[in-house]
Amino acid sequence: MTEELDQVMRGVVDALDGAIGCAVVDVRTGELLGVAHNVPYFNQTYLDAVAAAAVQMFRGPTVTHVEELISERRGVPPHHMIEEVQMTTGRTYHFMMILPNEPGAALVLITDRKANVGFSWAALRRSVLSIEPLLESSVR
Amino acid sequence: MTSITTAPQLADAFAAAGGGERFDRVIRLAQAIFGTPIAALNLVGEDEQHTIAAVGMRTGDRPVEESICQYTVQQAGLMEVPDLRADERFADNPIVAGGPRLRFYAGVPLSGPSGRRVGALCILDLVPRELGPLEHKMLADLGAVVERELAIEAEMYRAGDVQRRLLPAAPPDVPGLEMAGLVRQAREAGGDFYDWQVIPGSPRGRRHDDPATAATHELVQVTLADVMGKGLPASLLASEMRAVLRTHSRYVPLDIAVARTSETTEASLTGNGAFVTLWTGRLDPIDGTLTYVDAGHGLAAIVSERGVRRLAQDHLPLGLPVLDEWKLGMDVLALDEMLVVVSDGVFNVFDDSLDRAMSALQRTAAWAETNRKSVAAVARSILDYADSHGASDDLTAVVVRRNATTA
Repeated sequence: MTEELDQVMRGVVDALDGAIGCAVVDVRTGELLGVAHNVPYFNQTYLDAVAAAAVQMFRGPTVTHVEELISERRGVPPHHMIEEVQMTTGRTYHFMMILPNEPGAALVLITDRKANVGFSWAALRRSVLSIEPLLESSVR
Repeated sequence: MTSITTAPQLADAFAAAGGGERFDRVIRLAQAIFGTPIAALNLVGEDEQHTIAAVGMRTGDRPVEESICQYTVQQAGLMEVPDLRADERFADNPIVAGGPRLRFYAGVPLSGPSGRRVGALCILDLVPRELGPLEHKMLADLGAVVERELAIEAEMYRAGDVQRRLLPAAPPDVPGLEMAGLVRQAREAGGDFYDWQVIPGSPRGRRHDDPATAATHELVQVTLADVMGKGLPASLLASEMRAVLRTHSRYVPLDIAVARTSETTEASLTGNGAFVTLWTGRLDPIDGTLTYVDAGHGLAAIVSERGVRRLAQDHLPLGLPVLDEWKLGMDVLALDEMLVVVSDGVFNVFDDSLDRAMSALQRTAAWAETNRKSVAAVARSILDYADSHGASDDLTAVVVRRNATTA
């Protein structure tokens, strides 16, 4: 499955202008499930760190605490609320999303700042169509 | 589109016309604006929905019963379904219940000519969503861009229809000759036309040096012309050229007929900044005598097993500010030879593309094959050759062969 996910990620990186890298991350374990990138210095340590940062973004203790407070206030059971995150650095955009039908996994797309934001989201969301069938039985 | 009355029939006709790639730019814009994984241009036909441009889903046909856009075309304005799963019309749809499990749909109906709604430009997402007023307007704006493109296409189709009706129905039945003409139109109408007519063997108007004077029987005149430009203007000029040349040709020798046609149509051509290349020839079916005028066309040849003979002259096209004197050329079409006149599509006057195409016909093995074929089949194979070599323009071919058995 990892190989197939790598291929889907490669498809996103190759098709999208300005794409630097793209990854599928298991948000429960922090494991990288699939990845493709065009940057020589992105070694395994670096990629693992990015994966961990994505997990923190969606499942970190502070975020979880806030979600619990909100749920308590609304009188509903605690649940994860963040679906998508967009982050801007000096030279990059990061697009992150929980898979709509596979909430145990998240996608991370990194582009340079010449990339079109709408196109980037469209490409990332479109990759979900190929990723979810691959994950269907493995992450749940 | 004469027999098309309903919107679905119109949608089917648009889909059959092809060329959906030109809507890709609208699909690109939809992605950039809405960031949706799927954007599509769907035409709702009688039995099938045709996806003619899309990203995130395959182009092609699906049963109209599975179409979401079939509901969009029933209303005047945009249709938005914030959660497809919560809408009983769509909850069981294959793309909602299974597959990509789509949740969100927004589509703007697209009107074709006379206001019939033929399809929709739509965006789809994997999560429930709602568009704001500005986004509604933007989707409608994108729809308007597609509508304008569809209107242009319908206009082109009508122009092409006019042009098709102007072509001669069937070759005249002249003993000793086999003739065929064939036009393969590009998507847009163009200014190509061909014509043939039987010139009565009356001596009226003939000069003593007209090689045809000796003959008292009928001659056959074959014409192929190309009005510069495309669309309705070129079609209209082509019909005028054809009518004027036919009229003059009846009464005077060919060179004079061309000169008079030039005079008569001068105002129309210069007024429209257009010119016409033309090849026209008169053939005696009994002895094969051929007189011709080549006004800047250059794409006529006599082909046989022995080789290819170009029938080209240096005369200028009609409609240029400088009037030329079009003089008759002369040749003889032998019984084993074939006269081929084509339009420029891939064939170029200035390179050897016509010679190469003709050589392909006359290579010894191919020639035997060519001889077995009807002239119509030969015309078809010439156009096939042009198609396979990247023709994008209108293509016209006229083929004439003398027939030994009935001559």
